[in-house]
Amino acid sequence: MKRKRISRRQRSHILYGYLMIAPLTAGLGIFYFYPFFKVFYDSFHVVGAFNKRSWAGLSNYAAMFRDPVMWSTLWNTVRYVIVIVPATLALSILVAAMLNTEIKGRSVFRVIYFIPAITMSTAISMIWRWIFNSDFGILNYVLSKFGIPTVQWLSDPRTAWITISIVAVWMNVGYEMIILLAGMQGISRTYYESASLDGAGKLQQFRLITLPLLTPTIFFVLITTLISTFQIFDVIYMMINSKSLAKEASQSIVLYFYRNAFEYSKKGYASAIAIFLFLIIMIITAFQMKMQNKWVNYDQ
Amino acid sequence: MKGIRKWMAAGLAVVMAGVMLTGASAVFADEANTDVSGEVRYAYWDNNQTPYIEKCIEEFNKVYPNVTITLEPNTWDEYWTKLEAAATGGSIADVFWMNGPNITKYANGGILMPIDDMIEEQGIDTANYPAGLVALYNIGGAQYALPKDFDTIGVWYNKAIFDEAGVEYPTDDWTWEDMAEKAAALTKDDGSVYGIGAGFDTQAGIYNTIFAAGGCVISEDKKSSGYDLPETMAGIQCWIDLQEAGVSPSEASLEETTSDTQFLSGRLAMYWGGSWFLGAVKTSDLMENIDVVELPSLNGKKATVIHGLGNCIYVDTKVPDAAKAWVSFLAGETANLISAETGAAIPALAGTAEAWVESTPEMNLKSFITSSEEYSYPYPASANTAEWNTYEADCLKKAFSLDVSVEDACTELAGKMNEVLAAE
Repeated sequence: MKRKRISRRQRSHILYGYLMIAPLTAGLGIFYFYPFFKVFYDSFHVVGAFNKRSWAGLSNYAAMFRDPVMWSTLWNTVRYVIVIVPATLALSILVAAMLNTEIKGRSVFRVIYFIPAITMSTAISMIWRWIFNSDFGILNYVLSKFGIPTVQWLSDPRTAWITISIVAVWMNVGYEMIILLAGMQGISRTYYESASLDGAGKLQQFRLITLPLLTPTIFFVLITTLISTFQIFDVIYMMINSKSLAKEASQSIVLYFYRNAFEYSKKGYASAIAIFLFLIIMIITAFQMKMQNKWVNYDQ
Repeated sequence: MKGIRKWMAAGLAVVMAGVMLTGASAVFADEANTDVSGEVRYAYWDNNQTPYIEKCIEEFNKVYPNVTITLEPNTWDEYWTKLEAAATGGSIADVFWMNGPNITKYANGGILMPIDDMIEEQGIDTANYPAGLVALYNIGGAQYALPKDFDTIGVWYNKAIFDEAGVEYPTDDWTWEDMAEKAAALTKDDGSVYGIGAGFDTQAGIYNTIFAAGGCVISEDKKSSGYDLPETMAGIQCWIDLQEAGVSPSEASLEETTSDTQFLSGRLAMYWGGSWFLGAVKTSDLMENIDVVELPSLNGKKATVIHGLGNCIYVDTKVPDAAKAWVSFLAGETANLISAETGAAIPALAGTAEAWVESTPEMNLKSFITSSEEYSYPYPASANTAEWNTYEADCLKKAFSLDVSVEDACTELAGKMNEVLAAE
């Protein structure tokens, strides 16, 4: 085998390369890799209030698999994923397609739809909490005008998770819409021109040109929304308090992790939950990567 | 500013010394202590008490001009989560509020500085504070805080709603049945006004009735839960009866908009609340319509929870002298009188509570003092109170929303709570 020789020039190139990525790598190291291994380490310990640690072996994991609340929060999370991810995708594709046409005030609408993405989620949640308030909220007031009785949107365990899903979708759509819009604008105009010459209508063009050529972007949006929905936290945390009747029915697994770590002083147990969630997301993402050959179209 | 004040003080001292020859300059030298300096971070959770704290800082800085107090206000819901995270990371405030349910955890966790030497140096006599509250902050023989205030529970009521419905105002000797009757008479059919807020609450709710019914929350040796006792269940059932009678907004409604907010917006005629609620009443539009009475007796017996906050010092604070100066100032007469005058909380120092009562003479504030002296019970707590407090809410709310019976809820709760207590 012939060994490749590295010239002095190449060497300095490589050195510069490493130097350039050093700040980012250091940041990732401190804020991602170190905490990741720390969590992994903690998951084998009992970590009580003020970080008092003692070895626990696999007992955190054993307790986790026997904990009915953990399973119910996992089911809540899966339910969020099943509802929020398809709804986000469908709505953001629809909005992106509409904003990709030549309509009046297009840039104004683009800004309006994007605003939720750049607003603090806590602020959004506070507003929605008032909209959904069962006694004083505007939504129930409007519904009452149509003779619909009071719905306890946030405190009824049967409706709370639906309320959360609505707000989460509303928050997601703006950001995903921008990414999809960029994807749509990357599709060459010539396809559409020749399609219209061949007599294809707008809907046919969307179905036969836009959608297939957009699949790489859709795939990206699918993976990122799926991961972020598995980690859904802030909306629920802000809208449903820890003593709510609807807590059990709406709490996501990340919220359960947070409550164990920071409210019940059980950081070791919380770490085990975090590792479990990590494995779930990893397996699902790996599965998606494998499945993408079946539907994602990379040749333009 | 500081410089000018100093010069003025010096100038005044010279003039007065000229007149009186001695004494005057000694007073100034005594009062301003410039040796102690630094920035003290002070964390607390009740924004209604901010005016009181700001006034205290003003007075404190006259004595310690070189100490800066930086306020770190929080909401009650987030206070303990943030405090624990800050304590773990070493960035906790130098001085912070502490309460009964959490003191054991923080003292045993090595977060708090014992203040026995400070008490001795400053010549503070602990006998001048309510004995039960001094003992609350004494863990393993070391004193970690002096009570800043104390609080008991009363029934706040809206006179305007009583007048409109033609119902007589409650009196201090009323009974639970009187209260239920009045609540029914005050409730409007259209749901715009309810007689009372009967939602799940511990300190301002079930704890009081549990004690009045002869039950307990936790056994005296703190080894077992009291929720499986029939007396304890009776103390909860009386609230559920109010819910079933429809004289209170539902548990769900009270959860979305808490009863204090509903009361101050005129939707509730009666509200069980602590003496600390005075601060919120004073800043509301309903001030002149609101008065307060003692809790009603349940089967002839009265009971209220008594509790008080303490100011604790972080064990590794960088400014121990300044922190101690601030804590001992807050325990002193000046700060206690400011607390009384601003109505922030009933001051703990003997002889200053009267000033709190007199701060708002048009209200029956005396009732809080009477209850503290005659029938008060300490706030139930153990080493890991926060954890079983979570289960209290989880289990009992289902009874308050009328989804399960009190007996089932209490049995489930007692089981979970006993597990926590066994692990302590």
